[in-house]
Order: sequence, then C-alpha cells, then structure tokens
Amino acid sequence: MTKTKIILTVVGLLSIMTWRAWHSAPQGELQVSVSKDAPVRAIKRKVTRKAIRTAILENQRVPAQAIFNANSAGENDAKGRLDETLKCYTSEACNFPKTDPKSYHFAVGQALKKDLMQIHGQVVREKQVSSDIQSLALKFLAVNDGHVKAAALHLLSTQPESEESVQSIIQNILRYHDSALIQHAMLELLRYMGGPYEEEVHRSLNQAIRTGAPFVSREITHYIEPFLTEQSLSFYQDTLNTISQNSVSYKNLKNSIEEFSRKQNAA
Amino acid sequence: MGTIKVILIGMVLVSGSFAQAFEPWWQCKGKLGGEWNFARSPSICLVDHMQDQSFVRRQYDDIIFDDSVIRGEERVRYMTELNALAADVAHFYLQRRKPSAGSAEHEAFYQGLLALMHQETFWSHYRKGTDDSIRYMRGDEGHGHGIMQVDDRSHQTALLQGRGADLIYNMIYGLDVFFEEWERAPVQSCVSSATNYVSRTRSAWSAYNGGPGSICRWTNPNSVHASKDIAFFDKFKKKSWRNYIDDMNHISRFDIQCLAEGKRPCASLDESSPTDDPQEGELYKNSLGQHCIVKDRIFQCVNLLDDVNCLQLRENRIFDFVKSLSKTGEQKLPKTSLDRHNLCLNNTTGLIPVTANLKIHKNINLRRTPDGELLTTLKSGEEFKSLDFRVTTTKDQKRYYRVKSGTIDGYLYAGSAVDYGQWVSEMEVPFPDPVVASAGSFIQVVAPSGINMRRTPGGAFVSLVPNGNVREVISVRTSGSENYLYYEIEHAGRRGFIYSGFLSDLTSVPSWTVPVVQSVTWSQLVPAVPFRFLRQCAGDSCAFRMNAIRSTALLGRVDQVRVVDVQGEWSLVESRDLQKKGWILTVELEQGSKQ
Repeated sequence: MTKTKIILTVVGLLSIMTWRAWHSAPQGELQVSVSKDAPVRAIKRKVTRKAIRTAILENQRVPAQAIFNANSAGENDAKGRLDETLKCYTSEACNFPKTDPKSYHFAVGQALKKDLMQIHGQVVREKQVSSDIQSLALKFLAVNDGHVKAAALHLLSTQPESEESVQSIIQNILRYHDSALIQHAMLELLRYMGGPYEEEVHRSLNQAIRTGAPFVSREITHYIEPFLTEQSLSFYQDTLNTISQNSVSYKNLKNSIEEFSRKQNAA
Repeated sequence: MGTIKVILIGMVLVSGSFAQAFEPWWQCKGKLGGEWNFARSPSICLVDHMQDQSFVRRQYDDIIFDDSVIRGEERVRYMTELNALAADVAHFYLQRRKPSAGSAEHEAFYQGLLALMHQETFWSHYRKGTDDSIRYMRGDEGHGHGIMQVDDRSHQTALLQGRGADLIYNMIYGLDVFFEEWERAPVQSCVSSATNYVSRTRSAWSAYNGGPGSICRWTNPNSVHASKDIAFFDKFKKKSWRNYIDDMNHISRFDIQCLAEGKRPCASLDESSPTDDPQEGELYKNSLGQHCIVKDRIFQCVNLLDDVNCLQLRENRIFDFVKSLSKTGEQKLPKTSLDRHNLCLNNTTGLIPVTANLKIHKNINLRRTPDGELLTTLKSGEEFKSLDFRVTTTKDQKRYYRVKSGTIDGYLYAGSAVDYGQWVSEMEVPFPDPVVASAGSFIQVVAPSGINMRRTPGGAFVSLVPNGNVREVISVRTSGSENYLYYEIEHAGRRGFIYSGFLSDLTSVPSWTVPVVQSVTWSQLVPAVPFRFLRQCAGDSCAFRMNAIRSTALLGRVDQVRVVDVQGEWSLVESRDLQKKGWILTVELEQGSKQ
C-alpha cells in the first residue's frame, strides 16, 4: 500500500513537472531545447565567452554584431523564441493555459519577459552594443503588457541613446497606464537631457502630467526634479498652473519646483 | 483517498515558486460568498491587507453594502449611491484624459462603465458582513480585485499600492485600461467610426476582458469567449441596474477629484452651492483644497484634511459640514496658513513631534499610508525616528507616526488620547539615523552650492555654509505641511538654521546634508553605466528591485553605496541613506570617497 502511494506520488510529480514545462513555452519547443540543443549550446558558450571576457579585461567595447550573431546559443534561442511567442498573442493557438480569459495573455507575457531578461543578462555581462539589440528592445516595448515592457526597458537601458528609443519610451510608456514603469522610464529619459531631444522629453512629460493616466501623472511628478533646469522650469510652471490644485501631482510638482529654486539660491 | 492527498502535497511543492507571486486568492482572508445579484457577488475577502477597516468606514461609509440591513432596501440605497458616484468618476476621468470629448462621448463612456461594472462584478465592491467586518470583491479564482476586477497577475504592483481595495483607485485604474482600448477602438476593422459608440464599447470591453489582442473578439462567434461578449452586450442593452436606482439624478457627496487625484482622506462635500459670504466660526474648503476656519474675520487654513482634527481640538467643537467657497467668497477675507506642528502638538494629548525618537511597546502593523496596505509588523521594543504624524480623529485623538524600518517606509498606529503611552513613547537618548541627524551629532553639507544659514528657519540671511563643511547639530526643527527640516548649527562664530530638505519625501534630504558616519568607504557606479536597478539576489535570473542607483552620467544626485557582501562577481550594496539595497555586478562599481 505504501509502495503504491510512493509510485503514484512520483508519477504525479513527474506529470506536473512536464505539464508546467510544456505550459511555460510555446508548443513544440520543449523537445528541441531539451533533447537537441543543449550539448551544442554548452560548447558554443565556452568558446565565445572566453574571447569576450578577454576583450572586456582589455577594456574594449565588444564588437557588437559579431557577438550578437556568433555568441551563445542560449541567447539566440531566446531571440528565436521571442518571435514565435509574440505570434501567440494574435494566433491564440499556443499551448498556454486558458483557464480564464486573461490567463493565456498573461502566460504569453511571462514567457516573453523571461527570454528578454535572459538576453539582458548576456548583453550586460558582455557589454554588447548593437542596433539589433536596440530594435529588439523597441519591438517589445510596444507590446501592451507591463511585464514585457519592463523587461524591454531593461534591455533598452544597455544601449546608447537614439531618436527611436526616446520616441518609443514616450509613446509606449508615458502614454501607457502602468505607473510601475515610470521610474525606470524617467531614468532612461534623463540620459537625453542636454541633447537634441531634450525639448521633446520636456514636452512629453508635461503632456503626460496634464492628460496622462492619473497614476502615471502622479508618478512622473514624483521623479521630476532632475528634469528641472533654468531652461525647462517655465514648461513645468505652466503645467503647474493648469492642473488641479486638489491633486497629489500638483503637490509633487510644486514641491519639486520649490526645491529646485531653493537649490539655485542655496536655500 | 490517502494517495490523492500525497499527490496534492506534491503539486503544491512543485508549483511553489510560481504560486508565491501569482497564487489564486492571494492575500484573501475571511472569504465569504454571496449571490449573483447586484452588490453581493461572490466572493469577498477582508480589506485588512490592503486598507485599514476604520479608514474605509470613514471614507466610504455611504458606499458599503450592509448585509445586516433588509436586502431589498439596502440594494436600492447602495445602487442609487453608486450610480451617482460612477457618473462623477466617468465624467471626471474622460475630462482629464480627453478634454476635447463632447457630451455624446461622455454619455457613452459613462454607460460603458456601468455595463462593465455589471459584467465584471454586478456592481459589487465593499460589503459589511454580519460580523461587522468590511470586505471587498474578488473574483476570477481570486485574481480579480474590486468592482473593476483588476487582475493581480498583470497588476500586482498597482494592487499593492491600493488599487485593488480602494474603490476610487480601483475604478480609476480599471478605467485606465478601458480608456486605452476605447481610444484604440475607432481604428479597428470592427468599429465603423469613432461615433459608433456601441461598437466602441463592445470592443473596449472585449480587450478589457481578454487583453489588447481581443479587441474585435466580440465579432467572432467561434471565439471560446464569445458567450462573455454576448453577455456583456445583453447587459449593455437591458441596463437592468436601472431597476434598483430610485433617483437617477441623485448627487454624490464624494469629492471625486480629491479621491481620484490621489489624496487621502477626502472630505464629503456639502450639497449646498458655494457661498460668497463666509461666516465667523464656520469651516470652509477653498480652491487650493485647504480647509479654513473663519476666526476674527481671517481664514485660518490647514493643508491636510487630517489636520482639521487638530483645528477642531483647538476650537473644542466638531464641524458637521465643510462648506464650499466661491471665488468671491474666497477673496472676501485675508488668509493665513497655520503651522501643523504648532497646531497639533499644542492641542493633541501626548503627540510626539516629527524627528523625535520613538520606542514602540506592542507589535504594531506598519502600513504604506495610515489607511493603506499592510507592509510588515514591527516588534515591541524597536526604536525609530518619527518622520511624520497624523491625527485621524478628533474625539479620541487617534494618531499615527511615519517611520522607516530598514528600507520599508510607512505609518504605525500609536493609540488614542487615553492609551497612547501603551503604544509608543518618546526616547530621550537619540540613536544614529542614516538620513536625519539628532542634536549633538554631526552633519556634512552636500548641496553643491552650499546652504544659507539664516537667523530663524527661512528667516534673515546670516552666512553661507559651503559644500563639504561638517557642523555639529545644536537642535532640529520641522515646519510646514511637508515637514521641512532645519538644523540649528554654529558657523563662522554665529548661530543659525540651515534648510535640509523635506521629510514628506525622504529622498530630498540627502541632497542637502548627510549625517556623518565614520570610517566607511563609499563606492558608486562607473560613469559608463548611467543607472542600474539593483537585484534581489546575486545572479542574472534574480528579479530587479524597484530602486536604481545612479552614476555621474545622469543629472541630479549620484548614489553612493557601501559594499556589505560579495558573492562571486556580484556585490550586495546599500545606499548611504539606506533607501536602496540590492545586488549588482562588482565590475560596474568604482571606489569613491572614504569618510
């Protein structure tokens, strides 16, 4: 009787583990990554990482395209999977759980996030800079899932500033409703201060404070102080005069403007 | 039977890592059922983890369904009140997001909200059970929160910030999603034009329910969720909620702008029109959101609604109504702002000032706001520095203090006028704090252009204390609604006060002064990395924390950190103000100053 219980438990556990692995990835992927690719991936990593480490020790920026194409199978697996998984949103044909109307889309987002973060880890460690990585980040920044956007922002942060990036952050984060992304987005936008897109950044931040989602507006005003300069101050003072005084955004913005003025005058 | 149990235990163990963050019925205690009818949908869970019971009663009393009242009557009362509130919320929201929207769009958006509330939860949110406890609506295996069913798998951070339980936050957050789809709908193939509001509503709801990819789902009869789209449209057409509303023109007493724009608490509005003629001894609310009493023909105002309790204690009376003022009425009398520190400390029994050191005498819950999410439970005997106080009731003078426990910042309850000593007491011997210094300790000026020393806080200029200067603190003062911090010091042979940020946002203080800590080597991010979010553990697969440290590459303050642990290629770092702690690749750090 006890022996039967143990056997049934082991069978149960194995079934559940297989079910979870299967459900956390697009259909058909499981067999490939487990049975075929694994040994090959290990060999590739060993060779390429050594070369990259040498370059890092010599304080060189690693030639991006070469790494992005030739490097670890793990990263390329993740990149390939991303495109496949992205299609799952529209096809609704992948083997993600459909236990309720939101479960499928949520699971797709989690799978995308996982792969994006895997790529991010690799890119940070190997200091990769490439237009391919930037494009990848921008593509997923446009996905309407806060988890995916957060991972895409992390990836985008590893790359240099660009017009496409700043426009995408404005369009896909400031005009979106997820205030949990705002702190990160604003750190990213700070990189554009003093450059050709600074005015565009100020205009968009002001617009989001005025007519953005209320929680987003509030969060922007919480992190606004580093954006206040002698040149930009009038933008924000105008906005302060147009938003409701009976709001947390007003209070935050007013505090930041006053604090900026105090700093200008040593209090 | 025994075998099934063993297998189930196995399932729990295997799914543990995933369940931790997104488990069904997350943080649901005291679950109760209900019925598939307006206001009483199953299931409901206690609000306690997300909100304080007493706050919900004070703020939302009119909109709590009471199970102990005759069902039919209570339903009519509740529905009439909720309809008026929903109208205000819908119009406020659309006006804020889309000032150009016309009256037809406003009406359609409002009707869309009513149908959405029906489809998602039968207009159910707060309910008081026969045990007198307040619960709030959950659904979808517990993943859906509140009247708008905000899903904890997609919006867990938002829910932790109160958007699950707090009724208005929940409605606003739900509308954020609905509005995004509402705006996307007109360019979809399934919507003929922006003014086809029926198609627009159906599209917005399909996407609200199934995600952005489902925006035209309602046109596909073969969709696995087609029955849901049909059910929504049926509700939209029939508008059966009208059967339970006895006055469609009922006016809500909730100050929606105040609640929706994030203030807590917000006063109920007097239904009378704004007055041009303020009367001696009455309480008014002005256009700045301040509450002002007329005394000796002067408006004496406080910024925080909680501070009205201190005003009432001073006047020894409780105002039944807050009256609203017209522009003319507002300009009729001169105005003065009362300092909350003097007002509350002089009129509340045993209230402890901001920056004093506290010792707690019970295990006390720490909440994000006095009314908000439960963060942790502090242990009896622990000591903290008070960063704010709130007096939340007049009659029994209930009070809360804001403290920081490690990286967690929140409010603890500290008793009433009769038992405050059993909860918290003031310590006479100060302890070192990473942000706010105490009298007798030393601070260093870190503001790049130095800080002006003044005769009194904000008063006449005495001399400039340059950047890098280290001074002993003679005394600590706070003033104003933001708890502005001032240190009394001596400099160049003279005594005076220097400003040092405001405690309502702790991050402002370290950009002015920092307490001096001996023998610490500080590091910072290499300039090649503009900023980096810290991780929860050492490894690429570890999640990011919500805080980032910044290098000299960005404008603003540079974060100095102390390495407290090393594991392989990773370092555990802690910022100078202890606000940020987490793991980072060691190669991304460089050594800074030693102090």
